[in-house]
Amino acid sequence: MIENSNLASIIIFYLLAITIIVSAIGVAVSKNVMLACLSLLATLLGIAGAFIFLAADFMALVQILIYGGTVVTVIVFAIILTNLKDFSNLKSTKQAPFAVAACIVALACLITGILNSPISETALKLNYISLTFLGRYLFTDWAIPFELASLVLLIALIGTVLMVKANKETDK
Amino acid sequence: MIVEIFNNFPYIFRPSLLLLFLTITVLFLTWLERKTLAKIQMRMGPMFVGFHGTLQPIADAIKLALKEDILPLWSNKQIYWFAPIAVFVPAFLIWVTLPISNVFVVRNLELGLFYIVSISVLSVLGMVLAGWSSANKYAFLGGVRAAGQLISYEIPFIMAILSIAMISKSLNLITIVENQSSFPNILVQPIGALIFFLSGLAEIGRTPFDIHHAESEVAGGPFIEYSGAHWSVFFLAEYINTFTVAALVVLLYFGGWNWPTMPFEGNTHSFLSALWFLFKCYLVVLLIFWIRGTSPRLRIDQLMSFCWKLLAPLSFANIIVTGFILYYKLPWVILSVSSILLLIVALYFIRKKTNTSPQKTIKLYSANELRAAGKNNSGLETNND
Repeated sequence: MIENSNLASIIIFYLLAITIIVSAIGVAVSKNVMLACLSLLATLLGIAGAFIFLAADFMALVQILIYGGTVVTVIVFAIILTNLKDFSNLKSTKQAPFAVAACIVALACLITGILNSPISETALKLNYISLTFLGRYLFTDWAIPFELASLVLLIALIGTVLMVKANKETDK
Repeated sequence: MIVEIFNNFPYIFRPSLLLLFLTITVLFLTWLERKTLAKIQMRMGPMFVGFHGTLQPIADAIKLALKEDILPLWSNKQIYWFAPIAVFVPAFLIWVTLPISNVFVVRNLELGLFYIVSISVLSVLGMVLAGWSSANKYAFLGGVRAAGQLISYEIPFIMAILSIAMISKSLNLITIVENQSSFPNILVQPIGALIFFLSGLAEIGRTPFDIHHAESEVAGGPFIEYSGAHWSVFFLAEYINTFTVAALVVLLYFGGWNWPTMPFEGNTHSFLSALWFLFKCYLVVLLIFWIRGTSPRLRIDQLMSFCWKLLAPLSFANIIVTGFILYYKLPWVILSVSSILLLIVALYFIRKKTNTSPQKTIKLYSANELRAAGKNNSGLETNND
């Protein structure tokens, strides 16, 4: 029984990983902007699946709510309000090598960071992170970062309103 | 007996059972809606197929399955076929955690309410994609309208859910229902129930909020180009969502299967509870159909101002009041009273709004004005309100 569930979890993990990687490549390669956006959705939902696989249900749902639901919808909205013909002849420019180099450097940084980070014993012991646990830490030990994040969001909100207002004045 | 069969049913095959249940529900709902609307309009409704037209939904389903699927020439093929799935899958996934009674549930999640919120957000995308990929201006307008409406009404929808989570101190739907065994939440949260029901109606695009697929304005909106099986997938999703909102209203505000608690013990109790819950759900569904049969559609600017100027502030006020009363552990009566006060304020504002003159969207010119403008060759003054 244990071996069976191990096999199942390995299969699920590889299915998720393949979904994430293939659709992430799709985002970069696809010439159709809308298809690229949908591959992004698949990537993000795959990451949500990976979170569920790691018993972080809350993170998975937040991932679906914020990235899968809202961010992708906003991107789709931006795409449908532009003229797709402007993007029909996309070619790789001279900047491509620099972008590849930047990506490789970022990936290397991430991998070294992950490999060197100490995996705490408590994180390994927690096989399920309850919402009460998360909430208590957010409002006690991590209250200042939490409030700072909300401050950043507020600044973004005010900035958007200001930008829209400025545009309206120049339109007149 | 049914309870035992369900309990012995393997987990992997429970979704197929759910699909069967939802399909039967949708077939019944289509018949019920046509009959209810017919009753309101003093007609008979479907009468020929089966007893009082009871087999009409099956005839409709066969007709829809056999119809030709039409692909518009300029449409974006992959996305055009993807959009119905993107609308249907979230509608179906929500039901994974919705309990019909304390045993009839595919998987009771600890984060059930949050799961419902995050999955329901996904369906906006399908509407926008359907509208965009159809390459039709009405479909496009409908898609954009759908996005605006659904994203706006999510705020009061989620805030109303949040106040219930605060009261029952849980996101698990079964726990929420069991907490209501002495009194249902509607008694302490009438304003929350109103906000939830109205924004739920807007989320599923039912009258009076059916702006995005209004026949007289955008000729069916995002679904204009779809036909046959693909159109029926949208249709299926819409009816499932209607039933979902009804079920959520019953679960969150009317005590689910638990108020008043059904007699007997064990399996008989669970079975009776399920029937009681479904009966309550159908009452809410009938209310939704009643509203559809009797009320006119809102204008798009009314829709937006209703959400942002009334429902959203009210739902925030409701959260603050509920939090205040829960923090100081005041008796429930105070919460009921404050909620009723908020309700009265809301109704006052609704009444006041409807009495004001409508916003000017069209300017009428008299013939003399037009002639004068033609003579001076200066054009008309445009109204920039």
